[in-house]
Amino acid sequence: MKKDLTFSDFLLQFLSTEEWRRPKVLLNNLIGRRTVSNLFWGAQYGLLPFFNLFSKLSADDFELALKRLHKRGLIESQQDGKVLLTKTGKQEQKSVIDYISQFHFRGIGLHTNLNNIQQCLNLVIQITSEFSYQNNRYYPLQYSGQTMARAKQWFVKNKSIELPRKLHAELTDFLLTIPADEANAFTNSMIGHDDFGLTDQQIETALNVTPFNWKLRSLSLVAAFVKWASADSDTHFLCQQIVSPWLTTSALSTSSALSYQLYLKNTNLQAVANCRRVKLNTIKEHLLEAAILTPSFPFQLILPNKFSSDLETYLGARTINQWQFDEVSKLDSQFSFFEFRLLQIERGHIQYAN
Amino acid sequence: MQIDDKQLYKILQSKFGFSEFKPGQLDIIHRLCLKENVLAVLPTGTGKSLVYQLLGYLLRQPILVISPLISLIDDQVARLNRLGEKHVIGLTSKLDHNQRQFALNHLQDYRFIYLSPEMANQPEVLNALRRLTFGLFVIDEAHCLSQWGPDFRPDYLKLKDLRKQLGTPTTLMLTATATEAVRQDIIQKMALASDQVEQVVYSVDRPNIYLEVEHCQTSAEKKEKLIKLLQTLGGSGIVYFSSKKIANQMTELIGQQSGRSVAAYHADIDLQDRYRIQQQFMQGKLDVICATSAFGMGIDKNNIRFVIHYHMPGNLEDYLQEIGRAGRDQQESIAILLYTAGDEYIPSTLNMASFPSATNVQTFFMKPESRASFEPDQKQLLDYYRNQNKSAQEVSKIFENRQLAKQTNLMKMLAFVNENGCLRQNLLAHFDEEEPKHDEQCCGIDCALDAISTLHLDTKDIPGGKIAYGSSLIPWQTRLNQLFSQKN
Ligand SMILES: [Zn+2]
Repeated sequence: MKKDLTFSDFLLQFLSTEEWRRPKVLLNNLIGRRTVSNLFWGAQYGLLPFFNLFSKLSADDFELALKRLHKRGLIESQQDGKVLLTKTGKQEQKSVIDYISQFHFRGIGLHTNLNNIQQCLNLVIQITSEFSYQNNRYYPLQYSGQTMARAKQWFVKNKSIELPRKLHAELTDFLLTIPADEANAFTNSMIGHDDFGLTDQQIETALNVTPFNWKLRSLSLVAAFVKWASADSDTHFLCQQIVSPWLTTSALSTSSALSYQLYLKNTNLQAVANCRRVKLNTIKEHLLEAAILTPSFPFQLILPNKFSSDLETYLGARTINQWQFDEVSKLDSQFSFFEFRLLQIERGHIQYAN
Repeated sequence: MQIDDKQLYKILQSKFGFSEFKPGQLDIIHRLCLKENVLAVLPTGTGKSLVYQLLGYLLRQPILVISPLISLIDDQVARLNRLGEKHVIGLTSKLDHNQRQFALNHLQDYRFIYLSPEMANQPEVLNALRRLTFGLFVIDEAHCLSQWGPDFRPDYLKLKDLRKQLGTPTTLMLTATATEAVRQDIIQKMALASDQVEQVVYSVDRPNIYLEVEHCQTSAEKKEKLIKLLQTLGGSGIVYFSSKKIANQMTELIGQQSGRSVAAYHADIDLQDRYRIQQQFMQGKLDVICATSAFGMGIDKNNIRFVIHYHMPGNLEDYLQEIGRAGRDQQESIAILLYTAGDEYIPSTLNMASFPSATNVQTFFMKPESRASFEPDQKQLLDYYRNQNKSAQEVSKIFENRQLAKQTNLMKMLAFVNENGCLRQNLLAHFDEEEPKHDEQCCGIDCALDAISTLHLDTKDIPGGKIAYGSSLIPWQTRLNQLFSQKN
């Protein structure tokens, strides 16, 4: 139990003692910036499971967290901002990884923003709670228009005298799947009729943990709820409806998923570009995203099946992060950057889930 | 329009659940019914919004309300919803594209339309607004129009054009605090002549709030004093701090040392926690809220017994607004300002940071590529003046004057802190009001603990139901049963 876990500690797991890493990649993955380069490096650093979990993280707070690691002698940094884990850092990293490994986010941030689901769930519970006490004069929680609208739709669709009992039963089912302490924390933050739950700070004090420790645990609780609610089941129809409007089935962006589907059908990049009326380069970007985020990507359809022996020697002697495109194109002038990146993705180790 | 007071009382009862108007409300409503433009100065907590909300039910024409902050708009919309009013919309940047389109296409169906001033500048919004005939054009927090006031908002300067474009509807300008100079400025900034506006000015004085300034030698002494005060004071209250960081630190200290249930409340606290804190505070489950001055608050609690300033505000307007949260039930309450020499540098450094320097203004005007790197607030301000075809020199001069005005306001605040005589006289003189009579219920200097006991503000309410610091969690089964009204 790392009750004193801080955001700085959390960052340690993405750093290495052998390789200088770019902090920008950490920040951009944690806030969910979906670019090929960011996803590619995010995959190398083991960030994908945590993609988009901290969408509100500010650059200032991120900088501050790095500074703290520096102060504690856990990292060192270069002029260009790249950072390296120190020996002390490595020891600290181990205990952090041990602790974090109990959380299973599995890259859920590629499919949704957990914060939205949390808010929608809060609102749905509040509405149902007030309804169960037959009260319609209250201050509803004020979230974004989309969240308000979806919660309202859910209520209109499911409104019946039986609704409170049914939602109670479904939530009970879910809470039985997690440890009682976690279930207590999860429900104590809920807002309902005449009972407004505990604030984050009050829960932190009750659990005697740091704000970040509770943040991570509450995220993981929502993630567990989403996983449970979205699984096929006839027994929790209400919860499924809360969650499903916010989830995409594919880890890819809508646009990339579409290009990828078309490509699988006709395996001609130019044809996909024509069909979608976008530039060929855009389609290549979409496919790179698919290659990074889809475990069964058909690399063999695009990459040559053999390389010159010079090139093979060069590639084999280095890790994929050390490959230089300039060097590679000297050895084989036909080799494009697109193919180069694909090969890096194919041969690199991608951590899809933790 | 001929109206009958009976009808007004009927609406007051059926829509708002009151049987009596508060001072000023009925007078203003009468004038608005006669299509007179009104500038109303009503102290905080006297039901300013009820004036135009009641007209919304009387006039059968939509009411447009300009309000400076999204949080204030949300708050008003939520309040109207709670009163059972569904035909109300907050047109703010919070709406997504579809919702905005829907709202704009159905604008005629709303009784109350709240609008942030920057939204009014969008052509699409303006076009939709122009299709309607408004019963009333309301400018909430009208002091934001005045460059002499502490809360000047350049967006507000465009409201005079908006009013014209909407066919000059009857206009109500509302504020809780405005000196005579600021009132003149407001009228002028709306391009109205003095004889086109009726001024309804009520005293900003809140006689049931005892005023107190405590001078502390060191910041350690101030900390101790705060804890001692919180241990002594009986009811619930708010403590204001100049920064979120200090508010957080002190929340922890107060929780550990004073035995009071306490929560921090500022811009970094997320939405649902703000909601929880508001509701816990209203229900008396929380005693003390540690807030930052800069942060607007949707808390409408009548029986707040004390407001303490751990840091002094930058001007008397803010001070008055903040202490005005105490004693809305008209019962005896106290406002205590804690001061250590040098505290004035905290707000003044904040002031310095809020305006761009002459060099930065120059850069902004000369190098378009630099503009993206400016703080959003500064950029908005600078863009505004650039679009007014002002030169960099002129703009720098404007900022210099604003800076000077802020310094002057701070000096007045400091003079209040260092007042040897009657604090209330000092305060009211700033708002051009007549001298009140000092008595022992009025004010005191460096005698807060005595005052608390004389005023019987040390009476503890019955314990129980409080969220004690570090109390444990309720078992989830119990919690679910409570939430959904289920019996086990
Ligand atoms: Zn006095």
